[in-house]
Amino acid sequence: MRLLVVSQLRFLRQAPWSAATVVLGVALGVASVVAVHLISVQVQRSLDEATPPHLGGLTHVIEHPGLNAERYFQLREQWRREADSPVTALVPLIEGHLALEAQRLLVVGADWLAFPAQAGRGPVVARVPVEVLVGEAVLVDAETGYAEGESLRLGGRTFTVAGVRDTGLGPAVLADIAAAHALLGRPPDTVSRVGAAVTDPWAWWRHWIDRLMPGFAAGLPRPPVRPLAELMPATAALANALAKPVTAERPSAEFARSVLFNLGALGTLALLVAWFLIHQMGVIWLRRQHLLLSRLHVMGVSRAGLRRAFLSLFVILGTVATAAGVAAGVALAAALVRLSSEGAATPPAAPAVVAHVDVWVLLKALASGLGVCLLGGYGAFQREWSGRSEPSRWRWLALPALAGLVALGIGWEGSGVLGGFLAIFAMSVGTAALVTPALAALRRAVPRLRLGLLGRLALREVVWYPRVLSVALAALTLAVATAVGIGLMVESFRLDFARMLESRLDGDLYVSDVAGALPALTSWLRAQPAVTGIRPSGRARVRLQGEPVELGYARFDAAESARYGYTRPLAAGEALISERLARSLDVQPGDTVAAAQGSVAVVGTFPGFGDALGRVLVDAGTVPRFGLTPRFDRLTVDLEAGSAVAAEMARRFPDVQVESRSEIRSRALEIFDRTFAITRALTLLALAVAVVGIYNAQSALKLQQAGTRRLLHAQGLSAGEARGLALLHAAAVGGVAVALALPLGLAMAWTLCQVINPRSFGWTVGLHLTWQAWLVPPLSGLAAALAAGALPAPREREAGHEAA
Amino acid sequence: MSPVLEVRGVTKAFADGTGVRRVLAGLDLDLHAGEVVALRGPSGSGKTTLLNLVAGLIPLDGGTMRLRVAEGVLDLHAMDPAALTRVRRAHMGYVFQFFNLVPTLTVRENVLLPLELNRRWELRARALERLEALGLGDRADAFPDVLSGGERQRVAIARALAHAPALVLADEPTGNLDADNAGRVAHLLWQQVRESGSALLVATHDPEIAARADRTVEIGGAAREAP
Repeated sequence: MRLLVVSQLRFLRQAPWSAATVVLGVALGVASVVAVHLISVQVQRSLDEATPPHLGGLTHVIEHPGLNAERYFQLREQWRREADSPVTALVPLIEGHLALEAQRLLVVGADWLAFPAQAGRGPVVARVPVEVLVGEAVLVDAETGYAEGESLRLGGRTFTVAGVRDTGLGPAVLADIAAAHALLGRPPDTVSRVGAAVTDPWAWWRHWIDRLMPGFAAGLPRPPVRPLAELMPATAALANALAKPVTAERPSAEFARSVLFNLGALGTLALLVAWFLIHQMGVIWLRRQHLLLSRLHVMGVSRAGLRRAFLSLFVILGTVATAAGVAAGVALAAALVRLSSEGAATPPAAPAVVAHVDVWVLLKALASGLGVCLLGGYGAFQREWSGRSEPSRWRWLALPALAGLVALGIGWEGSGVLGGFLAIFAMSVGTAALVTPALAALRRAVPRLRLGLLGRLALREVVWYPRVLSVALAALTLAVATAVGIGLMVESFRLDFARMLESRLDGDLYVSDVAGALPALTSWLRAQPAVTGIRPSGRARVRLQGEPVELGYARFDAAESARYGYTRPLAAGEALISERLARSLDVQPGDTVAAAQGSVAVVGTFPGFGDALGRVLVDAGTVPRFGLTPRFDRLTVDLEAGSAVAAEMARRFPDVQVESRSEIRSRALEIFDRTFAITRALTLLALAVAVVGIYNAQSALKLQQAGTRRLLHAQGLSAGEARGLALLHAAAVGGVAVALALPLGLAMAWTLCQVINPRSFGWTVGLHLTWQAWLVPPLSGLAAALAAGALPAPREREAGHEAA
Repeated sequence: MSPVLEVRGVTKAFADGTGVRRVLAGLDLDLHAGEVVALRGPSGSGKTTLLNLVAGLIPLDGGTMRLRVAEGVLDLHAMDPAALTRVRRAHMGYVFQFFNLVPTLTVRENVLLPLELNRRWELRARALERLEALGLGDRADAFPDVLSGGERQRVAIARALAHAPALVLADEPTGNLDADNAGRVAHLLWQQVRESGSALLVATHDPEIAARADRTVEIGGAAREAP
């Protein structure tokens, strides 16, 4: 065995260029995976840190219309009686709003003592000991503007700010439940909901999967809302109560995790393309060594022994590529973080990305690099040395199985984002599997094509040797298709997003944070002759059918409704809801949904691109149904052209934030483009790996065709014609790949727009076939194939022959 | 009558890692139109090297080579590779021992290849007639991988003569065939060359094949020199 491995290593020394391209391709694939992992860990950690303190450690939130302190205590008593209950904690919570100076504060009260104690330290909430919080101390959200240690005067009482956290709740105060009762003026027996910590039998798996693939859980179907009776079977106190997964309380975190899942799926693309490259190279190397391996087999070396020796090559290359890939991945992650945060208010956190390199990243990188190398090498060996001349008769089952997977992933909503991506994966594998039959069909058709000599030769060489080219063609097809699919989706999304901005931004100036200055500002604006209209509006975080949503209100006349694509004014009790919220609540126009004090009728939906929270829009007169008094804190101002009102307003009211329509529009589009910077970078990376693969395949074909080239040279084919032939050949390779990639790219784009986007983010994107997205990736693929064809093939032929 | 090919004092040596191997040392050779000359000699004696030198596929170390064609006399020894390629394309045909045909072109396309390269479509009908005459009319649309060795060599002969070259070079054209096929292919080659009026320079090991030639030129063994 040792000698066999030595012989393989010597072969590697004789094939340095192709070995280098393998290392490069796999390293790029590993880099892509590592970069996405590091970025995801960073985002995941910041999400974990931003968990609202009252939800820390909880898994479910129990809701029931008749919930009060008495029922809570009955529930608790019953839980205590059940020795083997999966519930490990029950925490009563209340929630309401309170006015503080110019702000409307969300007040959340929790029984901090009910949180499970941490080992040896007693209960700690958001790094603050509970004994501090049960006194006259509160936690506040950063948006309140308070600092730690400051005093906060609320409802006639003075609290100390024990901690400032970025909770994602907006301006919020988190207090002990007794203090919150007092602050909100609620009777002491009020309980809004009960938080529960339930033992999860899959927790161990979830934990490790999340370590290996941060954000993966967001791709799985959303956990269902369960009857409380399933968790606590003998629940008499709260019959018909529902236990909602706590994730429903943090839609913005779910939104961010969906982004991570999408990035993770895209991050594996380069690795998948690298697998194609490895497989291709394995086939090429086996062909070069065919004579040697055959002789060794005749001498008595078993097939398994040959395979082990051959795979030793890939272990070495995989290890080297992994090391290079980790280094490149860390650099890539830092660069991508910088790229995506360029111009952002918060400084780039690139150094923090480097800090996330731990044993998990290294294990994942090693598994990716070595795994892809070994699988590719093994597949190549089986293909060339399986001893089977006929393809498996089960292969015809593969296409219907893939078609079934596509239908299931797209048609079954319950399969979640993962189902959508599995459908894309199945489409890709199906298209890759069609490459060889497509080449065979072309081989039959090509003799009938009326082409010149060089054109005929070039096209035939592509279709004549499917074993050499098909895998690399599949890789290029996949990379170009992904570039087309992602490009079409992003361009379509951008178009829809820009249209949404055009429709929504109908005012000239947008003024916010005006609550304190509103009367004075409004009076001043009314006195300005250039001001043609003033429209006040407000927002608040409320609950609709128990789900946290952002409530927006204004005077909803026909013009205001038209901004959201609705043609009539909103009457009292009518609401427009975002597409995301409609999906989340499973309601549609015509349905009625429950608010805090009554209900509202849904009369229409609107796209809410970029909204992490579901949104509900009502006329100001409907706001009391949500238990609130309308408080206007924003103004939309219409001006005559060329007015200098904005500058004068900024001078007179320095605390007011004023933005023009064009400023908001350009900022929104800039954020949009930054958001997709990582996506574009990962797609380009996959395309780069595919180019390496196509270069390898074309080089192998050039070596294989060296005899034909010499023959043509002897017949008088000039050097220029030979170069032309090489370019035509490369163009034919690119052309075949592009022809296969376009339909796959279109199908991918449709799935991304109509399936993945709704399931990930709750909105549907209309598919727009823009020429940039339609043409640029195929032209890039064609150019890449041409470049790969124009580059000289490495001089490895003699080495390969010697080895044989 | 002036020769079609005039070779004077041609020398060629190769470095082979352990020294310099002088393959040809001052070779002289004349070849006239319609004449068939066989090159004989042991392996490594320089037969293929001479054919490749004449074809301009490898550079000459010393000596002169002239090719007389309709346009005049061409000094092959003074031409750059591009010019040699043009000469080879227009005025020479080449038949190899192995790998004679382009695998991705049909029999007909292989035969018409020199006409396409030279844009001499007026010779198409004649080239296809020759294909018929060589007994390959019914194989015109086949690809080389389905042909027998003898059939492939016959296609190569048809291709070598398609553009009516002044000179045909054949390197062991029957070396890969059994005796029956070798005799048949050699007969056809001689016959077609004579009909076309070209000159044929054929390298061969086979004394029977050489015996069919008008003249045989023996090429001596290579000499090794210290590096």
